[in-house]
Amino acid sequence: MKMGPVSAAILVLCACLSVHAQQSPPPAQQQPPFTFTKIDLELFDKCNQLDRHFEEKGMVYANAEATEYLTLVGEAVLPKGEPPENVHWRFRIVRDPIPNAFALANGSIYVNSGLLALLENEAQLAGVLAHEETHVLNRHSYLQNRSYRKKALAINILVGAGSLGGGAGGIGGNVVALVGTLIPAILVETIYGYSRELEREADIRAISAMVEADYSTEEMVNTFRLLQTSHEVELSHVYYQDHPKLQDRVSYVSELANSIHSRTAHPMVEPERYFAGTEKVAQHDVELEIREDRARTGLAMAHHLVKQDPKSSENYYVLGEAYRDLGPRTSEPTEAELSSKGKKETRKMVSKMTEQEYEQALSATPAGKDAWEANQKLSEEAYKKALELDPANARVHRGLGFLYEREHLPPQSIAEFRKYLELSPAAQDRAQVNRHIDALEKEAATPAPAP
Amino acid sequence: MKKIERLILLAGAVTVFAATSHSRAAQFEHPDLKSGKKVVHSVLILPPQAKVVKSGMKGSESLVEESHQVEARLPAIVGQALAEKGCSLVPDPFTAAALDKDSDMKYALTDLQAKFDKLRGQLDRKPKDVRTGRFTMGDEVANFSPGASADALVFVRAEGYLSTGGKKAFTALVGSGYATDSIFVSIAVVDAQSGAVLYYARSLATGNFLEKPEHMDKPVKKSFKNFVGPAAGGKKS
Repeated sequence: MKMGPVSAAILVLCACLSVHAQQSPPPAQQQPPFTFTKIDLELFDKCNQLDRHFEEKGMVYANAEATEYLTLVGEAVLPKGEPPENVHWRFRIVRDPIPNAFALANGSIYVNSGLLALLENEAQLAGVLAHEETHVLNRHSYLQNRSYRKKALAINILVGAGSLGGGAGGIGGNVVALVGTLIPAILVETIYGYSRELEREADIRAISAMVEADYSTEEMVNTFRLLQTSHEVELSHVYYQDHPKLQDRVSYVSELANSIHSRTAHPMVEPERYFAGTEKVAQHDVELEIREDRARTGLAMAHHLVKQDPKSSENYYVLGEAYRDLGPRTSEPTEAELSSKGKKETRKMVSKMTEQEYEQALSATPAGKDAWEANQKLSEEAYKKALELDPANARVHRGLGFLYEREHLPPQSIAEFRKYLELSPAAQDRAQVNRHIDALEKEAATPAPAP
Repeated sequence: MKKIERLILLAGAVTVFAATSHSRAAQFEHPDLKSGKKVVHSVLILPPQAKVVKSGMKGSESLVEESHQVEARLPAIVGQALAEKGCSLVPDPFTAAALDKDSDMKYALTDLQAKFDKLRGQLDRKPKDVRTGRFTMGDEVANFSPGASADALVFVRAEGYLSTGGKKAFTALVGSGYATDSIFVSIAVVDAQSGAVLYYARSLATGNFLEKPEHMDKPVKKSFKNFVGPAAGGKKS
């Protein structure tokens, strides 16, 4: 069989990677002390830069109470004694609705607001933090970074071979070069996950750290189950649901959790303490979900908040917001949306249309109209409940104003907007709300068209 | 086999087209801006977002500090170009100290930048549609209090590529790949009240933009060639 140049190039790459894989030592029980090389110190500096970058770019959620709570739980599952060389433990919350957590090699552990809103108790959080701490303790970032550099060299070989083989356009070469250029190495390995072996290693230490701190290890299995739930139509590969393969992790972690005896008869789960420590983050996350076009997830989170604390006006407010934002969508994806044809259509629309155009297109369909009718009623109910609990909650009036505006009820909308400005005279969006009032007054003054 | 060859040729043509269309500098203006119906008197330049990538034989890496250098340089160039068009600049409210003190402002800025980036995908897909007034960020932009005193917000994005000597030599040897130091700059002027995209421009500067940052000046200034500012009296300059 004749082999083309592109096939030859792929073989070169495969050979390089397999040689590397064969050379990788099996995971040892007792690891030798880690010696920092120049490359490792460069990565350490990059991690410190990333910390500053996250902070400066407003990606870190600066809620002192929630951060303190996170730190408390994180420290409870750390090994006793001094941190390893070049590690300074820091626990932070990232304003990101995707349920994920990641650790930088310098000891900074980030938990996304989306994950904190999804988890149900402190034991689950302890499991996540212990897992991430292991990546730092066992120097996984440094090891992966060293390995990546070897692979990158192989990619460059392929670029050359591919361009030679692809003719004038150098198709194979260009594609690989572009991919190689655009993948920032340490972010990819840290956020998109390590190899199966390293993830397994982190899971195993997490279980033993949970036992040591007297947390219920069953909750780690429940965390994986929670990660498998999705309220959205996922149009691309969901990396947090394949980390490496959640089902695989559920089975080996369950096995391990069942084989280890807890220190006490009733190990800690602490759902109430967890909710008290993270309620504000979850409320903030619902707003982020809404902004990120993850209305269905936002709605599920808002329902969870209301269930946990039904006396909070703010929780009913975010529920009202979530229903309003859901607009022409159903609260869970339909069969048609989840089918490959449905996904294909959605992908096409999302890629071609702006946010407003997509919303208009959905609203124009009969299903969209029905969904909006149902959602606006539920939104109004939630807002009214929020006002019952706290009549001075100004933002609820704002939400009602926008809801009635969309329903073409100018007098009701104007009244709500005015109440909002009365209760919140220094509102940042005063100018915007006043413009809406002007437009609604004009609409109210215009005689309705004859039927 | 012929089918494969045809596919390769087609993919090659697509790649060449994509590469050349990206390197062309282009400007797109909203009809209201072009006709003088909307005149931008004052602008607030939001902190630019740059990404500089170094490509070498041992792989590619994002250069965080160098990206900051580019981000620090761009507002002055964009500001000067807009000032020459007669726009006044709202003083930068986003100093590190101000952002440290005010988390809400920091979040609002981050969210606004993210909202623009989402729209940018569509802008880059069909930039000509700016001329039909298709693109808007929604009137929520008016909630961004630092922009209250400005007529328009200016979003700036830059993507820089630097290649090491080894990479350049390797590319020259194999005769293909990207090894030219270059920086792509995209600028959008957005109505601070309605959120409409009034102007969108893209430019490309070649050469080592870190060692000689002045390489960026000319292409960025050229980006505003079609921008109708107050200096033009509402007419195209």
